[in-house]
Amino acid sequence: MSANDSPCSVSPASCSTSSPGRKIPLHIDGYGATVPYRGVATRKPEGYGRGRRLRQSGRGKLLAGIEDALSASGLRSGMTISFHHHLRNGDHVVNAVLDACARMGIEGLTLFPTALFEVHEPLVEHIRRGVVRRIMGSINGALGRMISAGEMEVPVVLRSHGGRSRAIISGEAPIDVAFIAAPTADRYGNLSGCFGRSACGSLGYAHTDALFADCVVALTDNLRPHLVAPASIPQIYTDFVVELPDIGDPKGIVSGSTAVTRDPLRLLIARYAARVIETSPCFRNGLSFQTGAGGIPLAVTSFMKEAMLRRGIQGDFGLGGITGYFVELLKEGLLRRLLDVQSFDAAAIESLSGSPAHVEISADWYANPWNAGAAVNMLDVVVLGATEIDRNFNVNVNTEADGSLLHGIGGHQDTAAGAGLTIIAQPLLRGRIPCLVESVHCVTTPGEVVDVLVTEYGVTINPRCPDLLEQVKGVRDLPLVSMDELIDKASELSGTMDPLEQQDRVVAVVEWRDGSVLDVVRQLGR
Amino acid sequence: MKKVMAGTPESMDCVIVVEERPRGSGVSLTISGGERFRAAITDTVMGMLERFGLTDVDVHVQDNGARDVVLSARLEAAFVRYGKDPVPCARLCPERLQEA
Repeated sequence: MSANDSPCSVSPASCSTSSPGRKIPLHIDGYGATVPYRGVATRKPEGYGRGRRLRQSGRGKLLAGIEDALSASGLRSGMTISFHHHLRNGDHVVNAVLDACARMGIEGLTLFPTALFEVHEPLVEHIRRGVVRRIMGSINGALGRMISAGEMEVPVVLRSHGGRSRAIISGEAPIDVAFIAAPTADRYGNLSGCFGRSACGSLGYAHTDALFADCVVALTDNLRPHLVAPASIPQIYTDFVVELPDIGDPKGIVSGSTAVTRDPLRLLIARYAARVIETSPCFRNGLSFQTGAGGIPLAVTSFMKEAMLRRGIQGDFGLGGITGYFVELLKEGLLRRLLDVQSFDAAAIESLSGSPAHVEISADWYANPWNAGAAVNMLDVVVLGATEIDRNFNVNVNTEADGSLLHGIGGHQDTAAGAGLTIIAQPLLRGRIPCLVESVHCVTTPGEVVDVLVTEYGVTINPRCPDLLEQVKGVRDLPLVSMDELIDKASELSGTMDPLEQQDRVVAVVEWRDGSVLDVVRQLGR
Repeated sequence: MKKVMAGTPESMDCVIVVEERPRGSGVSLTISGGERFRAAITDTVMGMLERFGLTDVDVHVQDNGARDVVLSARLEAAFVRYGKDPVPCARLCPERLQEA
């Protein structure tokens, strides 16, 4: 049963239908009343957001350990604590803080991370023991399987990077204590991500938390005796500083899929995607783009570089998670600026620390739909991946083929909504699992903001973009393929899939970046 | 007891282990991996067992995303290693022989 056909957890009269045709309960236990998604920009901001808590600090911000910081912060059971994910799968801070909370008997916490990784598997026990009651943020691995099986009392809330910063600033998701993993800090709370053994580059996702949390605790393994300047997060936001032996494992911090794919099939997909971009009106001087850090997107960046050199194009800026491939474009003058919310590799970290053209930006600047203009609004092109995409170009990146929660939204919704040209580049199948389906299990990004799907079979243009279809028609080495053909091919190659067994109970709520509810994920199993 | 293996644990492949069972005890099939494709894998294995005339065996499929054509090829390799040749089509489909 696809999510589309799934019943509401309450009577049909208590449901509404979001614009991609998903049944959304009007009230979800543990979440509250829902506002069903009605379109990309139909929910408008009004009034004023959350202000910063007024406070006063003396000279003594440096504390001896995490437990001292928890006491000093005033953290109590039932409060909300936030984390950022720049240390990725090398992060030691989330586990260390939650362990300390457990030791101090603090329970019922709402965890509000920008993302969680496999390294955070110990959270499973903290959830079972009641230390963590609720999660607002992406989950994966063992945590995803556990929550998908219904082991958490209240549903997880999934928001995009822009949606998360909007929720904080609007006051929808207040933070009691923000914990910031700082690869370098001074005693007065000036924080930098660019130096130290745990250097991660940009601290962009932590900026909004630092500005709006009631209390900010910085944890560092590189406490400097002198003033740290320039600082990503200045002392005016930091309440306490704690020195730890280590805040992360450098191998996990800069690891990840940051190499161009060598798989010929994926290279073919990347070449098609680059050809679409080159054929589109976006490909001109002043081009701006985001491609991410996966194998295919990096290959797209590489092919775009070839095309820019060949055609004498100079771009304006590269955005988002920055890799060494973008740094090359900057150094070679093919881009004028890099706007960096997350530095993926050592080259990006080094560039951010040394190049004035490489600019650290906050999640608010990057993607918040309710400010005076986020960077994604200026994007010409974005290349994204998908776990599934359906006939209506709706994209799922949140659940795996077995229906369990797997990934966060990241900047998927934000960049797709903001960019002039949104391309999903994805093989037709992963293993035996079809990526092209009649109806996705969960809608992460609605088809109305997706322009092009690129697979190894060619290019499929969303019927909403007739102009682009005309531009691409007849281009050499760029086969056009219809959605019907792709779905038939995927089904033929994969064979018949077993139906997913799921219950009525909602285990996760997928919000659109404006806070409306796009879809829900239900508990797996009978 | 005879035991044979075919395939690899690589992505988009599978490992097939076939082990002899006492006469008359029938076929036992276990599948690991293969989420969302258990029914399709079962159909393919049972069809191949019939094609090779194999009874009284344990078949274990460790699936890592193998497409049906790969699964069939790995099963065939395992069954041939087990010492079986495919049953001629006419024996499986006597009605076709009559038509001919």
